[in-house]
Amino acid sequence: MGTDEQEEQELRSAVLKNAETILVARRRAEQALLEAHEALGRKTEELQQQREWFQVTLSSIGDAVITTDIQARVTYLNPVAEVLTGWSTAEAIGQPLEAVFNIVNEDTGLSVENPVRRVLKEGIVVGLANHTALVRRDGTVAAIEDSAAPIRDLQGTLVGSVMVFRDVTERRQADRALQRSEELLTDFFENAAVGLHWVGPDGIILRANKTELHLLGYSKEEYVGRHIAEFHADKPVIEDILQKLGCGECLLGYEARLRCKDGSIKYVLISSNVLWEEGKFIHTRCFTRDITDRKLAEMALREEIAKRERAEAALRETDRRKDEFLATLAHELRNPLAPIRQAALISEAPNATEAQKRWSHSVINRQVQHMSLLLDDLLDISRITRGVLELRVAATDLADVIDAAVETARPLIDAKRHDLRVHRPVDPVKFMADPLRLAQVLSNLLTNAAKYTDAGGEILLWADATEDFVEIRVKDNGIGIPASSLHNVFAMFAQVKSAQDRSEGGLGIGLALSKGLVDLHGGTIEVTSKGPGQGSEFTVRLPRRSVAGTSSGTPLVQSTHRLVSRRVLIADDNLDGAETLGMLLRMEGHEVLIVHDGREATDAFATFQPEVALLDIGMPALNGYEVARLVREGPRGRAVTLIAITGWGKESDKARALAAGFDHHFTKPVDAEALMTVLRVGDFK
Amino acid sequence: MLAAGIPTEPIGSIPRPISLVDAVTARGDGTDPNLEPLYEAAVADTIAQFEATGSPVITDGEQRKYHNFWTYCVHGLSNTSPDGFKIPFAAGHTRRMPRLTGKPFRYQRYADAYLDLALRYAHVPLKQAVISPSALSLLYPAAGIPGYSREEFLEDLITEHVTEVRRCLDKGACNVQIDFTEGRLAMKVDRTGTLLGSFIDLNNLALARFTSAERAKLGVHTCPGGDRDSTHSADVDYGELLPSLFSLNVTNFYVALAGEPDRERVLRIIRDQLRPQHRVFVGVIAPINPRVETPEEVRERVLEAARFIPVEQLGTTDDCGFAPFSDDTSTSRETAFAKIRARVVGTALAAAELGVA
Repeated sequence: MGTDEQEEQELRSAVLKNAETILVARRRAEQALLEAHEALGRKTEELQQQREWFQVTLSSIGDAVITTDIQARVTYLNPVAEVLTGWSTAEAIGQPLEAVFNIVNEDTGLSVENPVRRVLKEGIVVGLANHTALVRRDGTVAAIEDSAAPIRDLQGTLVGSVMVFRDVTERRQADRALQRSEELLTDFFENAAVGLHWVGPDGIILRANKTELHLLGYSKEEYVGRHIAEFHADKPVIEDILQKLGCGECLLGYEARLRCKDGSIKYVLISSNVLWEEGKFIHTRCFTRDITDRKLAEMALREEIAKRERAEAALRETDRRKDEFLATLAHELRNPLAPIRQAALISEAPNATEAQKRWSHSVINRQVQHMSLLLDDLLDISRITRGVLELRVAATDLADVIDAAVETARPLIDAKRHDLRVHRPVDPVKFMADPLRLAQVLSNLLTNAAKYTDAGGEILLWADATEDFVEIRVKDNGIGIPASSLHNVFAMFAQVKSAQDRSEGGLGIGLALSKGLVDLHGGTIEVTSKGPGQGSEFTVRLPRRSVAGTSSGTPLVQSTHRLVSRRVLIADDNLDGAETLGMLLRMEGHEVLIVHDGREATDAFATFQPEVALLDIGMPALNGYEVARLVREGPRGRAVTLIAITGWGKESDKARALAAGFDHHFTKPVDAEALMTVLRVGDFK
Repeated sequence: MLAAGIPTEPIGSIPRPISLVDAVTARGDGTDPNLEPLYEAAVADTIAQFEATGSPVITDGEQRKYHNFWTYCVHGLSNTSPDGFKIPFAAGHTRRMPRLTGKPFRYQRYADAYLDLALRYAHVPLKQAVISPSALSLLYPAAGIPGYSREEFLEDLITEHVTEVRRCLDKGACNVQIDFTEGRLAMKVDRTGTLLGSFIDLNNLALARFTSAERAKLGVHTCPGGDRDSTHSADVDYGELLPSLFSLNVTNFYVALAGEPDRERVLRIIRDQLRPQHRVFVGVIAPINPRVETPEEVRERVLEAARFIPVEQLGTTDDCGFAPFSDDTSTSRETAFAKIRARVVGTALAAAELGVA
């Protein structure tokens, strides 16, 4: 260093040089600053343009936008946010966010945490919880949806937040309405009164309602997801259904059978079509209606109709046979009447000789006996049919029965010159039976054999016995029986047509009577024949009951009905009506007294002491009402059953009869069966 | 804390304990590590006494700044020589700066190192004083350095200064004060004002590298340069400095005023140059005056300043540090702390009277 002046000079030089350098640096800095300023200006202008674009964008979008600074104070609201919050931008800027954006739970109304708080705390994007509502400045509430996100500077530092939200009130309402609609549709689907299901193009069940599941008994898991064919009982039916649907057909009321879980079958009507979208099979729309009850009812009805038709056919057949029988009966009854009338005329003729008279009387006796036999058979078959015929079982010798039968049939056998061979057991066969009825059966079989075999035929009676059974066979080489008639031989009124042509005639009830008698013995009777012209063989098989174990006279078979015999008084001034009614009652086994006026009726109550009185109303001397009154006032009082038999049938007539003391009222012509039932089951003292 | 309403801060330096000065003299190098215990004791005592004055903001008294407030950061640089420029003082003595001899220019130490020790003892906010880049620009020789242009030097200088300031702020200094005593000296050296202008430019080039938030914690101290109760530029009119001074891009200005002959004139200049973002700490204590001001005198000086400076932009300080050069023992530590206490109390009195306490 030099002197102070030199040092001062150097100092001045140095600092001035520094000054120059600093000046250059300053100018460079100023230039850089100017350039930076210009760049900043351009950037500012650019930012301003972006800001304006941003402002316009935010002002134009449909959503509300609010921005805040790092302290959660509002820095910006777009127009939509102004409307939704009720705050203007000028009023809101600087305000705490919660003052401008007040949110509550839509359902409870309680305040909820503002998502911006979390955004500013954690720096993440946050969405609002569901069911959030914005409370506007005026207190009104709007349902909203929103999200908030952080705003960061270029260095990534969190500087604020931006929140975007929208009023979803209308959408919420629409959603609720849609949800309600879906609930209703789902309820409709699930709980419809018919089964509903969807099937995909591959036949897989996509959906089924509760009604269908309940109908078939499957759970949803057991049904949905399976192939529909698994539940159809008839494979061709479901294949046809799927094929038709796949071709675009609409099925209405297609009948099918479905298999339930418990194995039972349901009859259903299927109506279905397909949902197509752009030509693609999406799924079917199937309605399944249960018609099982109706179907079963139809089947039962058809069965019932068939049964009735069969019954009607049987009835018609019975009717036909009955008509034939009646015609035959009329014929058989008329036949003996002719000779009887003629013989009677002869006997009455003034110039008839004694021999002619005796001959007439024998003809009359014979024909009357013939008619009597016919009537006896009719009565017997009637009793058997009504279950009132009683066997007189006793110790029976088989040989005696055979002899009696042969003796009865012998006249006809000899008349037709048949060869009768009888085979009987060597040892006596004793068993419990009604000998007369059994002889009746065998004589009937022998008589038929004789009747339906050409003269000079062969008749074999073969009898045998084991420890348990007695068997008697009657075989002939007569006209035989066609195979189609064998099942009908023992039926009432069943006379083989070819037999009807025979001059021997007959009512055709003999075999029915024989079967009835054999059934009462607990036995069986069968017929075999190789056909027309090849004879017949009848086999009677009877159980052989021990003689010692059965008391004499004990009925072998109890009739199905209790035998009832009443003392019956008939009072009617119609002679024929009284007589025919009396005959019917006697045929029933009742003891009958007939009078023809009211005075005789009252007298008969004292002398005949009837249990039942059938009183006509319109009678001479005393009418039926008077007789009934007198009887009720008499010593027997209510002990007698009084039945009015009258042509007066109005309700007032019935009431009057009952008021007079009658127990029953029958309107003429009397329903004989009903009257018999009253006599049979009535409460008699 | 007494002057709650009107902030009051020291400039920085406090006379070192005699024992420390002697020890340093004996060692011949104030940066000897063996002196650390003495330095620590000095810092601890200084901070304790500072806090005892009631100062709301204190310093470590620059106890460890060796050799002085100007060259502490470059003391011991290998690429310097001790024959730099000379700064004459009115008392007749000079202080010589080191001279840069080679590149690159780097600080030997940053002032935040002083905060490490001070923060261990302080219970109130600490401020840190650093030297301005304009002051250190005088290191570069007039002849230049081959291979190291003045431009490169100035760029390195600015970088080092910014680094130092930022380190102090990061370390926890409540604010950083940039000592710009060479401003008034520049007018003395160059009456055209070009040098002053270049100093302002250089400092602003450095300040431009701080954010506005950082600059809010920065301040500039100007005074006529006190050393051994003498100055180097007290004869330069404040009116030539202050207009340029207030163009520095800082918030706080620490302006020596107590020793000015016409304080009101200076206050008017300050008023005219004051900008809304500025706070002016006016000097109400004259460190080079051995008399301890009374709090009432201080009060009056504050009230006087308040007539020109809005109270919300007003603060008080000392005209200068009490021992900018470490070997300055012209003022005792007791006197220094007594003056500081007077400033603190007097400022509080003024604040109470102004209704801002």
